[in-house]
Amino acid sequence: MANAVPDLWPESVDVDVISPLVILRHQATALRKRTKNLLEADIHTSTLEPHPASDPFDDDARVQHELRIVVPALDRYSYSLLRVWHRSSLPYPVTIVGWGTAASEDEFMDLLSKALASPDTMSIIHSLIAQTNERIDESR
Amino acid sequence: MTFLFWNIAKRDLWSTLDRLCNFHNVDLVVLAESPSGATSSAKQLTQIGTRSWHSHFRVPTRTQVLSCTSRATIEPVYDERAGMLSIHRVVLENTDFLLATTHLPSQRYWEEGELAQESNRMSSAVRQSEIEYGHERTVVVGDFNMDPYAPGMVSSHGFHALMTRQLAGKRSRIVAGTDYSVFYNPMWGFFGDRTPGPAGSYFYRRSTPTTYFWHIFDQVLIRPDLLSVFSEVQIIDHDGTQSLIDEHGYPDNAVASDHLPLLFRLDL
Repeated sequence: MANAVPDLWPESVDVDVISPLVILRHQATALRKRTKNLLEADIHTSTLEPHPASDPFDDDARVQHELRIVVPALDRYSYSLLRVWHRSSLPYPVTIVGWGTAASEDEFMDLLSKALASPDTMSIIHSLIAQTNERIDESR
Repeated sequence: MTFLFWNIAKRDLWSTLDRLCNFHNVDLVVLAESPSGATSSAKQLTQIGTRSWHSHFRVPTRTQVLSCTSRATIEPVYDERAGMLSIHRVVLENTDFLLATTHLPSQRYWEEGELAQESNRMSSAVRQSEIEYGHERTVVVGDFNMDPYAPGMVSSHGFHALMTRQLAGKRSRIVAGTDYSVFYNPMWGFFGDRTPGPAGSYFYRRSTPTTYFWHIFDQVLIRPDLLSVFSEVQIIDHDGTQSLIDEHGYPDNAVASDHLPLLFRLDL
């Protein structure tokens, strides 16, 4: 009998890989908790068909997830904060529009945390919270 | 209700805007490439003229919506980080509609395929607002940086904007098993010199073999549910006092903007 064939898979094969969509959903839930329900967030997912004029070698549709902030007190005004896309057949690599591309779950979380903590994002968040508090104050 | 859209190319054209608004009795102005923030734009227009203008926004965006009418309340309902699309809800006594305003990137920086992909995303965002508000009384206006015949404007994956009222009257079209709502794009009718007025809203001369010279980047799209009240659209070449075009009939960049304004009316 021949020697047993070794397991050739690398150590990095992981059963706990989380998709970008799941990570984004967690951020949506976290935002609601952090802002004490002043702000909500939801994820809109759509499919973007490949456009030959953009990339003639790209025939795989893309999945886009849009993280939107929703403001209940402002008649559910919504703000599209981030767009994330990846090929429909592969969750990684994943691109955060305007921020770059991440090859793995860890890289994505690192890039996403930079995007969420950016001065622009904070400015939007605080502006919407301020407008909400103003509206709540007016209604009293 | 009378609307004016104008890409003012970062110029202080407040006097010209005031004359335009007075001459055409404009109720609502949408600006692209304003040199100042929306609050300041409204203030400057108010100070220079006789009407009181108000801005409507929650966050800074690429287009600004200003109004001087008390007939309607105007509420921002959607914005996005890149600011290329904003949606407002306009509420009148007996009806309401959605006003989507847009300013897409120039083709100096974005390729046609990229604009088409962005049109896909934007039309989905418009559709999402229509679902949330339960109707399709929607107008989209702005500087699309695409001509009416561009794939992003025409494709069912993009704005799906068709060239005649009759075609748009069918309301939607099934493509590969999916039903896509349509817009009417009246801007097709302005091409060439067989109709009064300028042959486009933007003039660009190139030395390449294929050059169109005139473009209609500044467009208004109307959903079928508003066709019965959509009464007029013009590409404007004067402000009632001063011409906005030069001796060749091209947008006069020296006195105004490299884009001509767009005027349209909804009989609401």
